[in-house]
Amino acid sequence: MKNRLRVLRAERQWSQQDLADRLDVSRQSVNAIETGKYDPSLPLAFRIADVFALTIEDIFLRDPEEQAAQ
Amino acid sequence: MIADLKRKPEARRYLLRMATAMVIYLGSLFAAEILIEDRGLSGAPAYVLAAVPGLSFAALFWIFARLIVEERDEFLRLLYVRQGMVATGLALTAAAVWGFLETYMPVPHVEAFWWPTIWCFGIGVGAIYNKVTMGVAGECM
Repeated sequence: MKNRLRVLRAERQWSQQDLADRLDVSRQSVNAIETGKYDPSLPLAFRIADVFALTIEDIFLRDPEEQAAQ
Repeated sequence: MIADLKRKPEARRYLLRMATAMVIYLGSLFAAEILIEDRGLSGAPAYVLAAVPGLSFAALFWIFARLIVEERDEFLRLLYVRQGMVATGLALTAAAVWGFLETYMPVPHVEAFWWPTIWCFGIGVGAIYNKVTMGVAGECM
Protein backbone atom coordinates (compact mmCIF):
# COMPACT_ATOMS: atom_id res chain seq x y z
CA MET A 1 0.00 0.00 0.00
CA LYS A 2 1.32 3.44 -0.93
CA ASN A 3 1.42 6.24 1.61
CA ARG A 4 2.40 9.91 2.02
CA LEU A 5 4.31 9.40 5.24
CA ARG A 6 7.66 10.63 3.94
CA VAL A 7 6.13 13.81 2.47
CA LEU A 8 4.10 14.57 5.59
CA ARG A 9 7.15 13.99 7.77
CA ALA A 10 9.32 16.21 5.56
CA GLU A 11 6.72 19.00 5.70
CA ARG A 12 7.07 19.00 9.47
CA GLN A 13 10.86 18.58 9.31
CA TRP A 14 10.70 15.47 11.43
CA SER A 15 13.31 12.74 11.19
CA GLN A 16 12.21 9.10 11.13
CA GLN A 17 13.27 8.90 14.78
CA ASP A 18 11.14 11.98 15.64
CA LEU A 19 8.08 10.34 14.13
CA ALA A 20 8.93 6.99 15.73
CA ASP A 21 9.11 8.68 19.16
CA ARG A 22 5.73 10.34 18.59
CA LEU A 23 4.20 6.98 17.62
CA ASP A 24 6.04 5.01 20.32
CA VAL A 25 7.43 2.59 17.73
CA SER A 26 10.95 1.86 16.44
CA ARG A 27 12.69 3.84 13.71
CA GLN A 28 12.72 0.59 11.73
CA SER A 29 8.91 0.54 11.79
CA VAL A 30 8.68 4.05 10.36
CA ASN A 31 11.24 3.17 7.70
CA ALA A 32 9.40 -0.05 6.76
CA ILE A 33 6.03 1.73 6.48
CA GLU A 34 7.49 4.65 4.49
CA THR A 35 9.19 2.34 2.00
CA GLY A 36 6.05 0.22 1.60
CA LYS A 37 7.70 -2.89 3.03
CA TYR A 38 5.17 -3.11 5.82
CA ASP A 39 1.51 -2.11 6.07
CA PRO A 40 0.62 -1.04 9.62
CA SER A 41 -2.22 -2.55 11.60
CA LEU A 42 -5.43 -0.51 11.86
CA PRO A 43 -4.64 0.71 15.43
CA LEU A 44 -1.19 1.93 14.32
CA ALA A 45 -2.66 3.52 11.19
CA PHE A 46 -5.07 5.46 13.44
CA ARG A 47 -2.16 6.55 15.66
CA ILE A 48 -0.28 7.77 12.57
CA ALA A 49 -3.38 9.66 11.42
CA ASP A 50 -3.73 11.23 14.89
CA VAL A 51 -0.09 12.37 14.93
CA PHE A 52 -0.56 14.18 11.61
CA ALA A 53 -4.11 15.31 12.49
CA LEU A 54 -5.38 13.76 9.26
CA THR A 55 -7.60 10.85 8.33
CA ILE A 56 -6.18 7.45 7.41
CA GLU A 57 -7.35 7.96 3.81
CA ASP A 58 -5.31 11.18 3.64
CA ILE A 59 -2.13 9.25 4.44
CA PHE A 60 -2.59 5.76 2.99
CA LEU A 61 -3.50 5.43 -0.67
CA ARG A 62 -5.25 2.47 -2.15
CA ASP A 63 -3.32 0.45 -4.73
CA PRO A 64 -4.89 1.37 -8.15
CA GLU A 65 -4.84 -2.31 -9.23
CA GLU A 66 -6.52 -3.35 -6.01
CA GLN A 67 -9.13 -0.63 -6.46
CA ALA A 68 -9.78 -1.66 -10.07
CA ALA A 69 -10.28 -5.27 -8.99
CA GLN A 70 -13.09 -4.14 -6.68
CA MET B 1 18.92 -3.98 20.22
CA ILE B 2 21.64 -2.66 22.54
CA ALA B 3 20.47 0.91 21.87
CA ASP B 4 16.94 -0.12 22.86
CA LEU B 5 17.97 -1.34 26.30
CA LYS B 6 17.58 2.02 27.99
CA ARG B 7 13.99 2.58 26.90
CA LYS B 8 12.66 -0.91 26.32
CA PRO B 9 11.94 -3.08 29.37
CA GLU B 10 11.13 -6.08 27.15
CA ALA B 11 14.64 -5.95 25.65
CA ARG B 12 16.17 -5.78 29.14
CA ARG B 13 14.03 -8.72 30.28
CA TYR B 14 15.08 -10.70 27.19
CA LEU B 15 18.78 -10.24 27.89
CA LEU B 16 18.39 -10.96 31.61
CA ARG B 17 16.43 -14.15 30.92
CA MET B 18 18.92 -15.22 28.26
CA ALA B 19 21.86 -14.64 30.60
CA THR B 20 20.11 -16.63 33.36
CA ALA B 21 19.40 -19.54 30.98
CA MET B 22 23.02 -19.52 29.82
CA VAL B 23 24.29 -19.63 33.41
CA ILE B 24 21.98 -22.61 34.17
CA TYR B 25 23.04 -24.33 30.92
CA LEU B 26 26.77 -23.91 31.49
CA GLY B 27 26.49 -24.70 35.22
CA SER B 28 24.54 -27.91 34.64
CA LEU B 29 26.86 -28.94 31.82
CA PHE B 30 29.87 -28.39 34.05
CA ALA B 31 28.17 -30.27 36.91
CA ALA B 32 27.26 -33.21 34.65
CA GLU B 33 30.83 -33.47 33.37
CA ILE B 34 32.23 -33.57 36.91
CA LEU B 35 29.56 -35.57 38.75
CA ILE B 36 28.55 -38.08 36.05
CA GLU B 37 31.64 -38.39 33.88
CA ASP B 38 34.39 -38.00 36.50
CA ARG B 39 32.76 -39.11 39.77
CA GLY B 40 30.40 -41.77 38.43
CA LEU B 41 27.07 -40.37 39.69
CA SER B 42 24.34 -42.84 38.72
CA GLY B 43 20.64 -43.60 39.12
CA ALA B 44 17.82 -41.07 39.14
CA PRO B 45 19.95 -38.04 40.18
CA ALA B 46 22.24 -38.68 37.21
CA TYR B 47 19.27 -38.83 34.82
CA VAL B 48 17.90 -35.57 36.22
CA LEU B 49 21.29 -33.84 36.00
CA ALA B 50 21.88 -35.13 32.46
CA ALA B 51 18.50 -33.71 31.38
CA VAL B 52 19.06 -30.20 32.79
CA PRO B 53 21.35 -28.88 30.00
CA GLY B 54 18.77 -30.03 27.44
CA LEU B 55 15.94 -28.45 29.39
CA SER B 56 17.87 -25.18 29.27
CA PHE B 57 17.05 -25.14 25.56
CA ALA B 58 13.35 -25.19 26.49
CA ALA B 59 14.08 -21.97 28.36
CA LEU B 60 15.59 -20.46 25.20
CA PHE B 61 12.43 -21.17 23.19
CA TRP B 62 10.25 -19.81 26.00
CA ILE B 63 12.42 -16.66 26.23
CA PHE B 64 12.14 -16.10 22.48
CA ALA B 65 8.37 -16.64 22.61
CA ARG B 66 8.08 -14.14 25.49
CA LEU B 67 10.11 -11.61 23.47
CA ILE B 68 7.55 -11.88 20.67
CA VAL B 69 4.60 -11.64 23.06
CA GLU B 70 6.00 -8.75 25.10
CA GLU B 71 7.33 -6.67 22.18
CA ARG B 72 5.01 -3.66 21.79
CA ASP B 73 6.29 -2.72 18.34
CA GLU B 74 4.27 -4.73 15.81
CA PHE B 75 6.89 -4.48 13.06
CA LEU B 76 9.67 -5.74 15.34
CA ARG B 77 7.36 -8.61 16.32
CA LEU B 78 7.11 -9.48 12.63
CA LEU B 79 10.91 -9.46 12.33
CA TYR B 80 11.27 -11.76 15.36
CA VAL B 81 8.66 -14.18 13.98
CA ARG B 82 10.50 -14.28 10.64
CA GLN B 83 13.77 -14.95 12.47
CA GLY B 84 12.13 -17.81 14.38
CA MET B 85 10.69 -19.30 11.20
CA VAL B 86 14.08 -19.19 9.45
CA ALA B 87 15.73 -20.79 12.50
CA THR B 88 13.08 -23.51 12.80
CA GLY B 89 13.18 -24.31 9.09
CA LEU B 90 16.95 -24.47 9.09
CA ALA B 91 17.25 -26.68 12.19
CA LEU B 92 14.47 -29.12 11.27
CA THR B 93 15.66 -29.40 7.67
CA ALA B 94 19.22 -30.07 8.83
CA ALA B 95 17.96 -32.71 11.29
CA ALA B 96 15.83 -34.43 8.64
CA VAL B 97 18.54 -34.39 5.95
CA TRP B 98 21.23 -35.65 8.32
CA GLY B 99 18.87 -38.30 9.72
CA PHE B 100 18.34 -39.77 6.26
CA LEU B 101 22.05 -39.49 5.46
CA GLU B 102 22.80 -41.48 8.62
CA THR B 103 20.20 -44.07 7.64
CA TYR B 104 21.40 -44.65 4.08
CA MET B 105 24.99 -43.45 3.92
CA PRO B 106 28.19 -43.99 5.94
CA VAL B 107 28.24 -40.54 7.56
CA PRO B 108 29.27 -39.84 11.18
CA HIS B 109 26.56 -39.74 13.85
CA VAL B 110 25.56 -36.27 15.02
CA GLU B 111 24.36 -36.00 18.63
CA ALA B 112 20.76 -34.75 18.87
CA PHE B 113 21.67 -31.75 21.02
CA TRP B 114 23.24 -30.13 17.97
CA TRP B 115 19.82 -29.56 16.33
CA PRO B 116 18.59 -26.96 18.87
CA THR B 117 22.08 -25.50 18.76
CA ILE B 118 21.60 -25.07 15.01
CA TRP B 119 18.25 -23.37 15.80
CA CYS B 120 20.15 -20.76 17.85
CA PHE B 121 22.54 -20.30 14.92
CA GLY B 122 19.45 -20.01 12.70
CA ILE B 123 18.24 -17.02 14.74
CA GLY B 124 21.40 -15.25 13.56
CA VAL B 125 20.75 -16.37 9.97
CA GLY B 126 17.18 -15.06 10.35
CA ALA B 127 18.52 -11.66 11.39
CA ILE B 128 20.67 -11.59 8.24
CA TYR B 129 17.63 -12.64 6.17
CA ASN B 130 15.64 -9.74 7.66
CA LYS B 131 18.45 -7.30 6.90
CA VAL B 132 18.84 -8.55 3.31
CA THR B 133 15.11 -8.55 2.50
CA MET B 134 14.03 -5.47 4.49
CA GLY B 135 17.15 -3.28 4.24
CA VAL B 136 17.58 -0.70 7.00
CA ALA B 137 14.13 -1.57 8.38
CA GLY B 138 15.22 -5.18 8.90
CA GLU B 139 17.80 -4.43 11.58
CA CYS B 140 16.67 -5.82 14.91
CA MET B 141 18.78 -8.21 16.99
